[in-house]
Amino acid sequence: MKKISVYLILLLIAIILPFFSNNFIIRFVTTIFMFGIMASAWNIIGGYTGYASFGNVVFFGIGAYITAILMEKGGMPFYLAFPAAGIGAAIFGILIGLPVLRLRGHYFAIATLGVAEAVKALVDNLEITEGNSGIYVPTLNLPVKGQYYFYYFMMLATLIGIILTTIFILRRKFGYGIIAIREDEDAANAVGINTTLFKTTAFALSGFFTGLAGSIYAYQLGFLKPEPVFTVQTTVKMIVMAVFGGIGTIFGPLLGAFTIEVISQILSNYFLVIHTLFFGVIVILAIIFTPQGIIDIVTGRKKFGMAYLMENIRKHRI
Amino acid sequence: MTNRVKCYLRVYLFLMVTLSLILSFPIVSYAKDVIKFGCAIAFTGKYSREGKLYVDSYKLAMEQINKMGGIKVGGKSYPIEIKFYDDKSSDSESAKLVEKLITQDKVDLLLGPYTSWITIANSLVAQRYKIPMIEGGGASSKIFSRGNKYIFGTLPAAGQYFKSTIEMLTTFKPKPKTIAILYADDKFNIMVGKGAKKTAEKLGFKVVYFEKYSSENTDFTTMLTKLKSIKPDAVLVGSHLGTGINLLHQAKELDVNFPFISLTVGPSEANFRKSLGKDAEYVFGVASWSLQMNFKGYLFKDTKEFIKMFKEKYGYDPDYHNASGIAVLAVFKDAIQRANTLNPEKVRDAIAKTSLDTIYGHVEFNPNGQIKGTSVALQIQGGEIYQVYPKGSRKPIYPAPPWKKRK
Repeated sequence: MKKISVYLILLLIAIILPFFSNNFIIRFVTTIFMFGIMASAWNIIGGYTGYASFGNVVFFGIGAYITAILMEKGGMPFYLAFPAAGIGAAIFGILIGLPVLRLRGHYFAIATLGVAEAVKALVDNLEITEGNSGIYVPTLNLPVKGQYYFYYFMMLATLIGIILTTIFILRRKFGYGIIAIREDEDAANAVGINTTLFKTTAFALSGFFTGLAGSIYAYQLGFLKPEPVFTVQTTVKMIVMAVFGGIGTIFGPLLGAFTIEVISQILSNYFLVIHTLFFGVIVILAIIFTPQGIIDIVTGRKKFGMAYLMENIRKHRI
Repeated sequence: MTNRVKCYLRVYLFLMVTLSLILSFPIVSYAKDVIKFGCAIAFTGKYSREGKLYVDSYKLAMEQINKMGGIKVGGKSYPIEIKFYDDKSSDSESAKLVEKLITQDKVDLLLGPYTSWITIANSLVAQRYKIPMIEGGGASSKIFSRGNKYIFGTLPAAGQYFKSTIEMLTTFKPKPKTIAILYADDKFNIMVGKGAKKTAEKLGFKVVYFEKYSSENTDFTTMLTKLKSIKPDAVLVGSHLGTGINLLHQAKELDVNFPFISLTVGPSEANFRKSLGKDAEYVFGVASWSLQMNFKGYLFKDTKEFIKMFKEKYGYDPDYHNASGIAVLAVFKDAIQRANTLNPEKVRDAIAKTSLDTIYGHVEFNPNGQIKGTSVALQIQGGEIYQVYPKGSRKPIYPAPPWKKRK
């Protein structure tokens, strides 16, 4: 019970926060939510199913571009473009997942990386996306403050959506199924789990939420270009956040997104150029000392201290 | 929940809340006797090099303005201050930081970032808050295509970039007849390519080759082989520093000769000449500004004085990016003084009516916010870059000797 009340308090804080902050803080937290969604979505395929996708950004880009095209070229309102972005990304996940999820380990990682690059090249050269010169997205017709509330609560709702979905699937056969696939795919297959179906569903689910995040992102930014929305850096960021927070845990990726965004913002606030160096050092230290993610420490599952750090180092033979 | 959990949770929350508080209350100088400018620009990432050119310029212009006593509003002179943030060469990061500059640092006016697409993301935020931004680093007409009243640009329209070069071609003897146009697939160069084609056809040239290449391309073999068989009289390239160098390297290797070749980005930069050495000879370039120009200035006495001061301070030759950056602040100073207030709306109207002589040339804006103006043609001769058209310090050399006949 106590655990639930903690989450409710955090949720309450998230809901009332924008009414007490300036627009920058609202936008900043919106970005944290966005990365929280993407890291959590990556966690479904990368953390629970054990398929380290290096191309998850492709869903983000597809979601963003579907929104831009439907709104700019098709004149559709956002409430139609938004679900279309998620569904479009999910369908893409199924189509790509069927062949690509047959690969395992490094091969899967490289194939997904290739998919993202290929889609970027496609978007770069299509007429309808206006190619590399970029495409405008119609802006939301509200007063400034109203716009930020809108993006903020859309992101928050999507974030709650993915967290609840994760909790939900973990209690169903599907959740046990994908974890079984992660632990030993052949064994899972042998005990009667339809691995292809489970893997593809996990991939599509991951794509669905990432696509939704991309859709809100596009609407907020107002202008898209293939390079920044399909960049592999975004995938890397999702992975780093998920790993930093705690891979294969419900709240780990969100915690990772929050911590990393706050630290990186503060560093670049005070160190104009060398913030990247400090940031790199922090990530390396975190990976060496808490490879299970900082969630273990924060929730007190592991006792933080010299012994814990040494245990990790010994275990991973660094 | 055990005590230990509570303890760690508390420590973590405390840490993060403290950090967030630090973030929301930056150290602000509350003195209201300065005019604050804000700028989110690339210090790191892909555009850090170009970003630095603007940062250097903005800083020099700031010093110069403060040396002159600042900007006069309502009978009192205020010094200026610029708050910089690193946008990491990312559009969403840049837009977020502009948001921060406006809502948290409470800047009065905005300076632009580098490159067109980041400028667009920034300009949308400026529009939301109705705060004017002048940018010196984005030339794409897409920035000005949406009727955004709050964005002004000091780089001329990309489509006009090769206009002076093509006009120069008509003066050559024997007169070139065929033109090949290659362009990188970024917004700026697409506009350059399309604009060049239009101008060339209007002036009676035949465009025999018109091809786009990826901005990350490093291998030009296919294009060069084609050009070798087509043998155009003139080649115009919408390039970047890196692709320009690669293209020329490979042209020499494959012995593809160009009687005339001109590149957008590259020739005017010292690095281009350094890495190509003698192979950079006879290469033409375009710029909206060159070191040979001499204009009467507003912040500086004239272009010569600006170049001297700039070189003393930073140790490198300024190029058109730098000059454009100086013009941004010159226009702001002039417009604020004419408006005689810091009211963003009134400053905006004053900027729109600008007619100012700067070391960058005469600045006037089109109704859409982009500067009126064209560019000049340059050529590398004897390891140095000279303006050759219109009325430059040297005569253009045409045709260039083939690679094999060069010493």
